Amino acid sequence: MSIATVKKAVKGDETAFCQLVEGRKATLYRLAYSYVKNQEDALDIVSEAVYKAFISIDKLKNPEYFNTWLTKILINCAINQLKKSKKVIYFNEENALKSLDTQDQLNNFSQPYHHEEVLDLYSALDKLDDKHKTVIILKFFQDLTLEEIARMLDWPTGTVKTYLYRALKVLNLNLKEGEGNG
Amino acid sequence: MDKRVEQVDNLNQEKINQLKSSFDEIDVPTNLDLVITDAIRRGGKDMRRKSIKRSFLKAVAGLVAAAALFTVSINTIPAFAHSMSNLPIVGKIVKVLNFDKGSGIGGEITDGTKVQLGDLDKKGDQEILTINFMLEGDPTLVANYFEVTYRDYPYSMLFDIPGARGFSAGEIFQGITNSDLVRDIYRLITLDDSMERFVVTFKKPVEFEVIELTKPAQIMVKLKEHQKPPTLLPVYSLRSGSYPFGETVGVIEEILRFEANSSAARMIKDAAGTYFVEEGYYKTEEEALTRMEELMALQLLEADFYIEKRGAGDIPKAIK
Repeated sequence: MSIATVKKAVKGDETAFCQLVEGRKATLYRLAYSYVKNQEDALDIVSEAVYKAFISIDKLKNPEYFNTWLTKILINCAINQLKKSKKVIYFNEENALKSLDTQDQLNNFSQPYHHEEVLDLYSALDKLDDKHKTVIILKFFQDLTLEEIARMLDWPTGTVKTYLYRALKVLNLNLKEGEGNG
Repeated sequence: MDKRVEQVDNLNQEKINQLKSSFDEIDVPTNLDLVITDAIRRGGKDMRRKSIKRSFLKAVAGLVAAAALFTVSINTIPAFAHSMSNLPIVGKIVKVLNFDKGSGIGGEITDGTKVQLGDLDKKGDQEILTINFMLEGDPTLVANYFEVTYRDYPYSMLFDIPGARGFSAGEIFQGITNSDLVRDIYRLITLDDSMERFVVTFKKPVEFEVIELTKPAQIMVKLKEHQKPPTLLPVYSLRSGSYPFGETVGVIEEILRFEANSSAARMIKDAAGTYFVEEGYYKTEEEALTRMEELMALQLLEADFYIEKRGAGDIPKAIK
């Protein structure tokens, strides 16, 4: 992504905007898909996000944050889509605690390690509500640091950290402190 | 390092790598490009729309529709019906259109046909304009659904052809140059591409007859100078400025029609070959002014509006 291209796009250059989206299209689609897990809804999300980005790109103040900005729009669209379809399984404190008990048992080192768990991790994302899911997606699929995630979602870094560790526990993943801080 | 911790770390790393690769392995559908192009196009359209809209304030209830509906003089004359024999008809006559309140309809609802202007020929004191329909390069058997409306200020005829996708003027302009009656034929932009529209403007009041033909499909418009044209007083046209052929006039027309209750709003080509939208025309300047104030109060459009006094045959001026 070149800053010059972003600047052109901000000024209303449609070709420049197309170039920018072209470079991000696969990622945008995969992010959308990770939320809804079906092609049709994922395409709807991408369409809505690209549309919204295009009509509001003149408001993008820092060209260097184009990708962050576009990702944020996409995530909002994805979350809206989830709310619309209501297919999401809500993850409340009670459920979280319940699953934590189970996860703790699974974490017992004496238990044999099941390879299926690894394969299943991606679908296990569905166990998370949209906030936890977003943190995991941004952390592992976009390789963002906690600070970057915090900035994107307008949350305090501490909140992002809490969500990340809670989500990791549900997913049965333990992360070293250093990795968590990105 | 504690061996158990190391194992867990390795396991976690493996899981995370796996998670990351699950992401990269998500198949990207082939129609993603299409979806993106479409979204950008949609955005572009809405932006242009927004740029000339000051706000989205909706009309206050109780707005009276434009009181500009003058009686349209119907100029069809029975004399035409008996003059068929000397016409170069190829197809079969389906019907001679009946004009009710200035409009007549014909054809059948289809999709994807292309409108092609045929000829404009002189036959004695008559001039005959033909319109053909093409589908994938071949003439169609039956005419696409069409609606013809005769209008004054200036003398003209509007053709609405819903479902048609494409318009070509062919070599008709030679015919227009030689014509005593037809001043111009021009296409109108339709924002959602749902139809083709074109206008035939006349140099003087005409009497006309519209005939629908089949095998091949054709619309035949017979024109004759009006022998006893009704006297039409000048009117006060409430109109936009002039713009090049394009989406701006399309948007103004849509906003007036669908958001400002201006059912008579219409797009017209001016003397300079640019286009504007007439909100309506009124008998007095006061009426036009009243309506202009109502319109401004709605704050639907950022475009300036003007009042132009025009005689029945006057070609509107370009206002920039």
